[in-house]
Amino acid sequence: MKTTLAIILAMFISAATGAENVGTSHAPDAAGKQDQLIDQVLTLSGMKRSLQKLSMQMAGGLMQAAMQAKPSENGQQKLIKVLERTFEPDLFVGHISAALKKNYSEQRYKNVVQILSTPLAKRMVELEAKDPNPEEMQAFYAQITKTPLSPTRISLIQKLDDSMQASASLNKVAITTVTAGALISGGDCSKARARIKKVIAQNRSDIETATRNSTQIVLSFLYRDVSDADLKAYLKMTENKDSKWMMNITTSALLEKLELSMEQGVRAIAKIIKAHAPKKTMFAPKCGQSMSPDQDDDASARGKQVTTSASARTANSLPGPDVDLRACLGLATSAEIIACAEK
Amino acid sequence: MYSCSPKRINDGPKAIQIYADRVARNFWRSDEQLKRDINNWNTPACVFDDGRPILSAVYIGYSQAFERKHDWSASLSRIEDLKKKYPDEAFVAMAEARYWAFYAWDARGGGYASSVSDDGWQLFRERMEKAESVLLDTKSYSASIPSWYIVMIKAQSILNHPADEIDKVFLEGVKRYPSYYPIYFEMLNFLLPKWGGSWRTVDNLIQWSVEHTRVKEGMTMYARLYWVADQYSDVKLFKDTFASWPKMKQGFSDLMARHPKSKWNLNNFAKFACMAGDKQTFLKLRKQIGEGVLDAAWPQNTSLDLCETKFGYAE
Repeated sequence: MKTTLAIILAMFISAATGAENVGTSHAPDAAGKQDQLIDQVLTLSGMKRSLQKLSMQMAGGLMQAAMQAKPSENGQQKLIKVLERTFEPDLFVGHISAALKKNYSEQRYKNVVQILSTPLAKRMVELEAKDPNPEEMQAFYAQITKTPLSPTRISLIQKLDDSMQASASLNKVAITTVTAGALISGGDCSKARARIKKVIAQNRSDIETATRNSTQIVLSFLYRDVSDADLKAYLKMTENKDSKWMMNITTSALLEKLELSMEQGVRAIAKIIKAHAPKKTMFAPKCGQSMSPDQDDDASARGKQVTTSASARTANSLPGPDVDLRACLGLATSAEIIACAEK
Repeated sequence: MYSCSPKRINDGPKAIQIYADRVARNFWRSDEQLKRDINNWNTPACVFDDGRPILSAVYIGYSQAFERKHDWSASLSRIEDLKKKYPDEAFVAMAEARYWAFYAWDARGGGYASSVSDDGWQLFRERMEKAESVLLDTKSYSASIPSWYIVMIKAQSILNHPADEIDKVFLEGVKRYPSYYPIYFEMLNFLLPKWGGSWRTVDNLIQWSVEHTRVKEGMTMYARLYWVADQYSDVKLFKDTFASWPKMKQGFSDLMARHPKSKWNLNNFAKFACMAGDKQTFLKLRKQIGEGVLDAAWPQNTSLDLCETKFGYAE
């Protein structure tokens, strides 16, 4: 979550611009200069580093899901190679660079660089680059449970989240990743795969709620030492129309690439698993059979339970920092992954 | 039936314990008697009152023989002596395989996997491989004792052999000894969720086993196997697994029809009726049990008192 958040945040930072003037000048004869400027944006914003982390994490998530099939050593080597190739960090960076290049606006990018050079933006990049310490996160959560954040602070965090589209993007990342992992676990069984998709679709709104709540907790944690006044200034930057313009480009490019890579990854992994996983016992569940009685088609009932608990949270409350759907991929079976994703 | 089971107590865990004691004692004191006993018991007709094979006591008996002596060198030396005296005898090969498997656990210890040292794992594996190789090397004669398949399934599952290989061992075992329940029990253990299986896998095994024994055993295998599943795991049988009480009830009825003298089976039948909330069946069975209550059949969480109170049983 944190890396994904970091990338979304980094995207925002890269898009943030305090300049009101919208430059539309284009320099088609200066490709080198364009590349240089885009690279500067990606580096200064911390996006490059975050994209590298994100791609590695995506690959790790799928590898974990694939390992549930217990592939042979040879199969594992093949999996690593395929995942390295599919989630090559430079491919992600390249994809976003290409999107930025396609929509090149020297003035806007220069404005972005200018923003990234302000002390506040630099500080934010620095904060977002740090890997949150889980113990500190827990302590922070315990603290805000005891002494809730002020309504002003909560409102600022929620507005920042909306403005940066952090939850919305993270939600898409989470659903894509969980679906990919679960589809791998579903193996050859089309019924199981259809069921996984159905359960995820049924619980989409609950997943969204959980992701939004958890994102806002992480944001509160990351900005815990930032004053309300600075957050307000930061919010203003995010609401700038140039910021939004650039953020839309980078976000949609990232999500597009992610979806594509996941699809490719799942296909390649399924092929490798088929060839390299040990044969199952003849008594293993047949296609369409659930693993245990509580996984018999009762997804809607369980979904209801999740809805209740998720919607029971008030708009101004912030949930615990324990919701990371990708953690579900470590579970042994597709059914467990689904159940975890539901939660 | 009784020519091979001369003991007074011939039902339930006590009976198995008596026979296991006999094996453990004779392993050290009287190999001639041990050989005679095992050969005598090695027939499908030689069963306790509850229908379980008397031969199953040998598996436990050998473990007890090594455990009580607690001198691994002395045990191995005894096996070597027996090998010289009885070359190519199944009962000796089984003792040796059991020795290595049991000795393997001594290296590993009974704690969580994370508590085992690297050396411990290494030794565990080496000794388990030794058990497996003894079984394979002597198979031509040692597999004449059905517990060959039990030790083999156990060793191969611990050594992480592919599941389809273990299936083959199981299938061969039950084809050769279709009524030797402990082979089914061992396979069920291998397929349990706690070892990476699932309750569906267990249910598929049980359904398969019922189908393959139905002509002779009726539905007894259903009752026996879910009974064992209950013993091997810490779950609510009728909630967490695919166990069906109507089928289990039929299985127990078939079991009682085949082994009417068994108080052990009757007590357990009543216990599962209580667990399933089948008042009528429980009360009927409780009446049948009368004074013949076997405490070992009633664990604390399903005590007889509890069930009697729950269903308003009055003598």
